[in-house]
Amino acid sequence: MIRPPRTAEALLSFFLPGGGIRETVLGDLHEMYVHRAAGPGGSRVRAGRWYWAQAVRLSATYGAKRLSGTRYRGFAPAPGPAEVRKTTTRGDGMVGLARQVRLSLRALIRSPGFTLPSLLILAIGMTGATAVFTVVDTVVFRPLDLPESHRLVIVCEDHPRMSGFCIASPSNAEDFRQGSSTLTELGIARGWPFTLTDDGGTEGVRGGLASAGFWRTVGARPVLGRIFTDEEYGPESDQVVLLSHAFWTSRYGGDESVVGRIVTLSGEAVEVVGVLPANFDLPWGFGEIEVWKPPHFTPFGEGIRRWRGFRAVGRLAEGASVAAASAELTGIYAGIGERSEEVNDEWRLRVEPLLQVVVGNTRPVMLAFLAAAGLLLLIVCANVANLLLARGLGRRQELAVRAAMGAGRTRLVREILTESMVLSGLAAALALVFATGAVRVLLAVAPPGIPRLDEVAMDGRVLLFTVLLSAIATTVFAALPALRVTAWDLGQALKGSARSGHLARSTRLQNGLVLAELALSVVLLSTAALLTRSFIEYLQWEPGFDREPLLAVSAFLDAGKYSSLEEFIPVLRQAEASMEAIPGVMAAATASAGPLFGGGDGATPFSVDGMAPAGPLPTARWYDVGPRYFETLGLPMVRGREFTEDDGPDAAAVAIVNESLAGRAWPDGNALGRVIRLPELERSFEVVGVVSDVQPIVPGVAPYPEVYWSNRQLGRMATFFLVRASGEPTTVAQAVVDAIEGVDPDASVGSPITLTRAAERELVEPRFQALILITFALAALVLSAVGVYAVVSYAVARRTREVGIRVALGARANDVVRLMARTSLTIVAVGVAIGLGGALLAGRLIQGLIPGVSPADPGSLAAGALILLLVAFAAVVVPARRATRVDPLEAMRVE
Amino acid sequence: MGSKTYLGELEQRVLWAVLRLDGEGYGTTILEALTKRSDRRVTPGAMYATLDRLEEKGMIQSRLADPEAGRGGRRKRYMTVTAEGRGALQRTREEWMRVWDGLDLVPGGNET
Repeated sequence: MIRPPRTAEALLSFFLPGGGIRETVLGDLHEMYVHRAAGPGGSRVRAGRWYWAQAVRLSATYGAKRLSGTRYRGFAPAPGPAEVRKTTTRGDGMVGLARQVRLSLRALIRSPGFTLPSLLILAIGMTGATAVFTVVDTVVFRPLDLPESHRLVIVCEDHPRMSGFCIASPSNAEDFRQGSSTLTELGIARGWPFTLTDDGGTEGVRGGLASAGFWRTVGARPVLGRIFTDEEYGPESDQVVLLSHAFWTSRYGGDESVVGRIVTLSGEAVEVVGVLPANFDLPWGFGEIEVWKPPHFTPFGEGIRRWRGFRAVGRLAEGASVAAASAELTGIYAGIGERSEEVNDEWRLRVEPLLQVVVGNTRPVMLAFLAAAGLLLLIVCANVANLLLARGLGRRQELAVRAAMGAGRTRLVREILTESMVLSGLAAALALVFATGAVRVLLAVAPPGIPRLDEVAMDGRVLLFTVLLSAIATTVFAALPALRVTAWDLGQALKGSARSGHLARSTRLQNGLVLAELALSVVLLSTAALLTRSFIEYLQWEPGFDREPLLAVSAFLDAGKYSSLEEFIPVLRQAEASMEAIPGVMAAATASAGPLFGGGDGATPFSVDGMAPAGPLPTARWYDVGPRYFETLGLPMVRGREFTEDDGPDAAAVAIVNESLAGRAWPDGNALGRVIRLPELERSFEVVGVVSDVQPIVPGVAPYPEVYWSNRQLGRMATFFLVRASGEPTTVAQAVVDAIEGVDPDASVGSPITLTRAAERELVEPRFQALILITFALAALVLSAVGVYAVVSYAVARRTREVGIRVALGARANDVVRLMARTSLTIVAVGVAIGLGGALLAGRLIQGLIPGVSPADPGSLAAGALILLLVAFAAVVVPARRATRVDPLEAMRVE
Repeated sequence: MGSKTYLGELEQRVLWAVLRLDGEGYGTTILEALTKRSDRRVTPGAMYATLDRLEEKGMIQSRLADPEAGRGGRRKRYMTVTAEGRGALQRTREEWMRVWDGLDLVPGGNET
C-alpha cells in the first residue's frame, strides 16, 4: 500500500489542531501524495519529498498559530453528511493541548517511581549546564562592560624578537591619534605608583598615568568633576588627578568636596579634578588603580618614542573594521619609520579587539567547562530516554488496549511527547532554582583573577538558555522512545507477548543508549582524573629552594628624591642592613621580581657568540637583583659567584644566568667569562655565575631561560625586598616594613607576603578547574551508574521466566548469573572501550587548553574505566543474583 | 458579517474554486481547481490557511463525510459557499470593476 512518509505524517499530526481539521488535512495530503506517487508520471521519491515539504510548512503555520493562541473550531465527532455546523468562536484545539498537559501531569504524579528520578536527573544535568553557561556567558561571550565595548581595540607595537607582547610608545600613539580616521579616539595608560600626602597622612597608592584620550576612548563618565583635557599632558600641565570610586569612598568617605582639593602626589602638588564611576571595567588591573594622573612628559619629548611601556587603546569609528584600522595605522607607522630611526623595519603594528585580549587565556578553560557540561547533559538525555523507554515498555498493554478501543496512533504519540515536554519543563524550572545556588557556589570557590567574574549574574539570556535546553532535551529523549513504543504492532502487545521482534529492537536501542552513556562518562571521569592529577602535581611543586622561611615586600622609592643610582644604592644597602639587624631575620636582599613575587619583568631576546645567526633569537626572562639574593632565596649557585657590592656602576657589567640559559647558549658547559647580549635593551654582560633553575609551578613546563644583572649597576627605583627568617616569617613582617620606612619615610611599601601564601594563591586556579570537572564527573558517574543499573536490572527481570526454567532444569545459580552477566558486561566493555578512545582525544584537547595537564595519563584513564566497570558489574550481578532466587514456579507464571 | 468585508486575492480565488465545485469541493479538489486555472502556484498550507479564515468569516461552511480507504481511512471536509460568501465575492468583483473602469492599458505604454 502506498502511504506518505510516517515521520512526516507524525510531525504534521502533532502540530495540526484537533477536531476535524487534523483528520481532513491529513486525508487530503494522503490523497495528493498517492496521486503524486502512483499517478501518471509519478515518483515515490519526489512525492515523498513533496510531502515532507508540505508537512514542514503546515506544521510551522499551525504551530505558530497555536502558539499565538488562535483557536480552532472543531467538528462533531460523528457528523452525518447533512450535518452542517455554523461558525463558532470557540474551538477545542487549545483546550485539547491544555487538557493534554493536565492529563500528563496527572499521569506523572501517578507514577512517582518514574517521575521523581527523571525529574532529578534532568534537573541535575540542566543545573550543571546552566550554571556553567552563566559563568561562561559573562566571562567569554558578553562584551566588556564599557560603552560600545565591541568598538574598542588595542594597538600594539610588535617586534619579531618579542612577539606576543602588546606595547606602545606615547609618541607613536599620539601620531596615530592625530592621523587616524578609522579610530575616533585613542589614548595611552600604564600603572605608575605614587605616594599620596594630604591631611590624612602619607600613603603609597596604586597609581597610573593616562592621557585624556584614554578616558574618552573607554567612555569614562566621572561621577564627580571631569576627566583630563588634551592640554593636561606633559610637565607643568599635569598637576591634576582622577580618583577611583573605591579610593574616593575609602580615603575621603565619599566627600563631594574632594574635587578641587590640592593633595601632594610624590612630592608634587596636584588638584583632584574628578572621581571615576564605581566598578569601572578596565582590563590589565587598571580597575584597581586608585589615582590617575596625566603623563608627566610631552608626547614627543626626547626618548619618549622608544618608551614602549604603555597600553594604547582606541575606539573604532562607526562602521570601521579592525582590519581597516590595522591597515591605516600600519601605513601611519611606516611613515613614522621614515622619519625616525626609533621605528625601524623590524617593528610591526598589530590591532586587536580589546575584548579578545581581555578574555584571552580564560576562554579555552571556560569552553572546556562548557564542553563538560554538554557531555553531562548528553548523559542525562540518554538516561531519561532509557527511563522513558522502560516506562513505555511497561505501558504497552495499556497502550494496546487504548489503541484497540479506537485511540489513534498519532494521539498516543502526541500524548507521550506532551508528557516528555511537561517533564522537561518542570525540570527546567527546578534547574533554574538549583542553578542560582550553583552559580553562587561556583563564585565562592572561583580563584581571583578570572576576568569579570564579579559581574556574573543570572539574567534573561540564561533563562532563555535553560528553556532552549529543556526543549532540546525533550526532543532528544522523547522522540526515540515515542517512535519505538508506537512502532509495535499493538495487537501483538495486547497478547502480552514479550518475545516479538519489536521488543528486541527496543532492547537494542536501550543497549545503545547505555553504551553512549558509558562512553561519555569515561571521557568525563578520566578528564577529571587528569586534572586532579595535575592539581596534585601542583601541590607537590619542588621549586628548587625552600619557600617556608621567605617573606617578600615591595617598595617604591620616590623617584624625585634621588637624582642618580649612586644616591639610590646606599638606600637599598641601608635598608638591607637594618632588616638583617632584626632578630629572627637571617638574610635580606633585593630583586625586581622572583619566583612567586613580583610577577616577572618580561622577556627579551638574547644572543651569544657562536649562535646560529639566522632566525629569531631565543628569549630570556630578565631580573635585576642585589648582592646575596640567591643566598637569601636559598637557590644554589652551580658555578661562579653571586653579585657583590663591588659590582657597582663603575665596574664591568656582569650577569648571572640560570642553568637553562647556560645549557642553551653554551652547550660546551663553559658559561663563565662569556658575553651575553640583550639587543632589545642594548645591553651586554659578562657572565660571572650560573645559578640553578627554579622549577615552574605549572607541572610539565620546562624552566625558562633567565638572566640576572646587578641592581647596583642597573637599578630602578622600585624593588622587592626578600627576607629569610629563622622562624615563622610573618612575625618579622612589620619590622621589615618599618626598616624600609626608617631609611626612607617617603617610600611606598607594599603588603608583605610570605612565599608560602603566594604559592597557595597560585594553586587556587588549578583547584577550581579540578573541582568543576570532578563535580561533573561525579554527577556523570552517578547518572551512568543509575542508567546501567536500571537497564540491566530491567533486562534481567524480563528474563525471569527463562531463569525459572533454567533453575527448574537444574542450572546452578552461578551459571545463571554468568549467563546474565555476559551480555550486559559485553555492552559495558564496549562502551568503556569507546569512552577510552574519546578520553584520549579529550585529553589532548585539554592539554592544549589548560597548561600543566598531561594529555594521556594511563593511570587516569584506567581509573576512570575501572570505576565504571565496577559500577556496571555491581549493576549486573545484584539483579542477576536476585533472579536466581526466584521460585521457578513463580517465574514460569510471569507473563 | 458586515457589508464592508472585502476579499484578498487568494481569498477570492479560493472562494471561486469552492463555488465552482458546487458542494463537492474538499482540500484536494479545491487545490486542483486553483492550480488548473492559473499559473500561480498555491501551496496546501496557503490554501488551508485561507479556507480556515474564510470559514471563520462565515463565508464558507463545511461538513464531514464518511472515512475513505484512499485517504488512509480519513474523512473529507466538503466546503460550500454561504450566502455571505457569495455576497462578498460579488461586492469585491464590483469594487474592482469600478477601480478598473476608465483605465486603458495600452500595451507597451505608460500607465497614465
